[in-house]
Amino acid sequence: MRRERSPLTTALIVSAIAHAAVIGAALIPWPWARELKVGAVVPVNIVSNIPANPRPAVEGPLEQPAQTESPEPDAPLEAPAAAQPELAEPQPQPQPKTQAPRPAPAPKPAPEKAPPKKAEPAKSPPARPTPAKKESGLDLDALADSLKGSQSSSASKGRNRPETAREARNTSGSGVSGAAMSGLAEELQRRWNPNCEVDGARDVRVRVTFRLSSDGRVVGDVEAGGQERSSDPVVRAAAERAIRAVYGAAPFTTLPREFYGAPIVVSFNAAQACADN
Amino acid sequence: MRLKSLFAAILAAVLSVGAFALPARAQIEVDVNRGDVQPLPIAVPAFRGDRGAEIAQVITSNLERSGLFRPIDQAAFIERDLDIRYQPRFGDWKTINAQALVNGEVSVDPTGRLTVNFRLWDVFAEQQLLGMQFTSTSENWRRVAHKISDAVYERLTGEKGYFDTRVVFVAESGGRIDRVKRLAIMDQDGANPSYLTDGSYIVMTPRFSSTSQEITYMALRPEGSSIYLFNLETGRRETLGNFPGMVFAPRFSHDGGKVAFSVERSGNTDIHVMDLRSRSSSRLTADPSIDTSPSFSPDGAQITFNSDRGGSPQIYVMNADGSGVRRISFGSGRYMTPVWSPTGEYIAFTKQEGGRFHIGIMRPDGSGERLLTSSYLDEGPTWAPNGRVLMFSRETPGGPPRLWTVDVTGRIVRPAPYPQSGSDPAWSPLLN
Repeated sequence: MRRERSPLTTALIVSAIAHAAVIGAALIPWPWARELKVGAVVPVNIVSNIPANPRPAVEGPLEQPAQTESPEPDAPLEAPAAAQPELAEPQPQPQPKTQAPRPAPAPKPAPEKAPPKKAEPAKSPPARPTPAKKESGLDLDALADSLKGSQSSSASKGRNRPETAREARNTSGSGVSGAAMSGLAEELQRRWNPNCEVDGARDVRVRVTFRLSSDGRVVGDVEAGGQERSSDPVVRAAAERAIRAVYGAAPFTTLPREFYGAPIVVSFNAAQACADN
Repeated sequence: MRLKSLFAAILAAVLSVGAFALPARAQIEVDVNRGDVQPLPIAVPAFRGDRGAEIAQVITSNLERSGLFRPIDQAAFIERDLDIRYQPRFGDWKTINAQALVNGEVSVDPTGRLTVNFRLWDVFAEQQLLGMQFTSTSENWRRVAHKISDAVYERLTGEKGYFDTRVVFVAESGGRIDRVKRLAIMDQDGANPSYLTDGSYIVMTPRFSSTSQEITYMALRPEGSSIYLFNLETGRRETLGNFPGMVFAPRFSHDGGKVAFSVERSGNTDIHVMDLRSRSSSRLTADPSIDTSPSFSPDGAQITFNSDRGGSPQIYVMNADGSGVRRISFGSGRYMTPVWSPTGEYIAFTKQEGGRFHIGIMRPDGSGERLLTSSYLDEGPTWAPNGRVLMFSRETPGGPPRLWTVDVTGRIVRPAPYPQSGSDPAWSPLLN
C-alpha cells in the first residue's frame, strides 16, 4: 500500500515553505537591510539634578574604619611629642571625609569631647581647652618641639644636601629638609593623574593647600584657591585631580613631624608633567 | 603689685605661645612636576533595575573608547548592589584604585516611561560630583546611557562629551567593479545602523550640519551629479538646484545657513556658496585650477579649501566672500580634504607623502602641523563635536575601507565600532 505523493502536493509544500520563508524574512529585523529609514531622534529629558550627598548607609560608617583607614600603626611616630592631641585627632577624621567635605565636621568633635572633660575636670583642666580650640588638631607643644628639631636637623643636613630639585624648594624658611620635601613630592606625583590629553588642561597650574594631623592624615578640606569651584570646567577638573592626588596619597605617614600642622602648599605643574610624559 | 606680676605672667605666656605658634604655621611649599599620566580608573557597576546592566555597559564602552578612562573590571568590585540612596563604601572602591565611581538606578513605569538616576562620585575626596535624572521612552535607553556618558566625561575631563551623537557615512558593499555605495547612519558607537539610500546610485561626501540633524551629500547618477539636503528629523529631501557641470563636495556653514560646494566646468573647478534661505549662489574662486573641499571656520568668516593652483594640492584659507586667499600648507607632499575643527583651533587634513597617507592637523595659520596617523590609505577626516576626536576611513592593500578614530594627540588610534565596510564619515553635533 504505497501511497505516491502527487507532484501537485510536493509543489504546494515547496510553495508554502517558500512563502513562509519570505514572510519570516520580512518579519526579522535584519539590521543591514533596513532601507531608507530616517534616523529619528527620540528625546531624552534631563528632569533635574538629583540631590547631592545622600545619607550614608546605616552600615556604611560602621564598616568604613575597618576597610580603609590603616594609619593607626604609624601613630607611634608622634607619640613622644604629643600623646594627648593624637588621641583627640583621629576621631574627627573619618567623619568629615565620609559625611561631608566641608568644615562642618570640625565643630562636631568639640561637643563630642566635652562630656569626657566634665567627667574628669580635676585631672587636667588647663590642658583640655587647648586641643578643643584647635579644630585642625594643632598641638603647639609638639610643633614647637618639632620646630626645634627641624631647625637643628636642617642645619646639619642642609649643607650636605643641596636642594637642586625644584620640587625640593622650601620658600618659607620653615626649616624642612629638601629630602623630606622631595619625599612628599614623590608621594603626590605617584597619585597625580594630570589631564594631559585635554586641550587647555596642560596650561592649568593648580596650587593646593592642606594640613596634616600628627598621624599624617589630611585635616579639614584640601583647597585649590577656588579653582575647584571655577566656572571653567577644564580648570575645575584639573583642580579636582590635584585634590584627589592629596587624598589618594594620604595618610602621609613617612613625613617628619615638621609637616604636621603647617599649611602645605603644593603647586601641581601640568605643563611640565605632561611634557615629560 | 600682685596684679602687675600676674599681668606680666599672662603677657609672657601669650608671647611664648605666639613665639611657638608663628613658626609652626610657616608655610611649606612643594612643586610637583611629574605625574602618573594614565587613563582615569573608573568603576561603573551595573545600575539597579531593568536595563541597568546594559546601560552601565554602554557607559563603560564609551568611556573606555575615548582613551581617557580605564574602566575597572566588574569582577574586581568589592561593594555590590549599590543603592543610589546611600553613599558608597569609599574604602571598597579605594582598595581597587577606582578614582571615580558611577552608580545608578533604572525604573520603567506602567506606561513605558523610563527614568534613570545616576550619581558620579569622587572616591578619594569622598564626595558626589554629579547627580542627575533622565526620562525617556524605554526603548531609548541607549541614548540615556550616552547622555550619562557625556555628563561623566565632561565632569571628569572638563571637556564636552561626544557620545550622544551619530555618524553618517558611505556604506560600501560588493567588489571593486560592482561596488554599491549607500548612505548610512549609525550611533557613534556603531549601534542602530540603517541605510538612508537604496544603493541604486552612488553617494559621496555626506556632511552633517553642525547645528541640526540635517545632512548634505552628493549623488552621482548616469545623468549627472546633484547635491541633496536631507533632514533626518522630517525626512524631507531636496536638491540644491541645477548647475551646469558636475557639483560635488558640499559642506554646511557652521550656522547651517549656507552650503559651499565645488562646480566643475570645462576642466576648471571652482568653489561656490549658496544661501539656503534665498537660494542665491555665488562663485567664490575663479582660478584656472581645481579648487575644492571647502570648509567654513566656526565663526563663518573664513573658508579653508584645497587647490592645486600652486602646482600640487595644498591647503588654502580665504575670507567667506572669496577675498584674501592665502596658502597655509607648505610641507612636502599633497594636502587634501581640509576640515575646520568645531573649536576653530585646528584644520584637519589628509596628506599623501612618500607613498603613504596620513591624517594630520595644523593651526589655521599653517603652523604646528602634526601627522596623527600613517597607513596605506587614510583619508576623509571628520571632527567629533568636541573637537578632540577625528573619524576617518582607512584602507589596507586589497581590503575594504573601514572607519577609524584618532584623537588630536595622535596617541589614541583605534577602529570605530562598526564591523562593516564604510568610508567618508561625517560626525553629527550633539543630539538635543
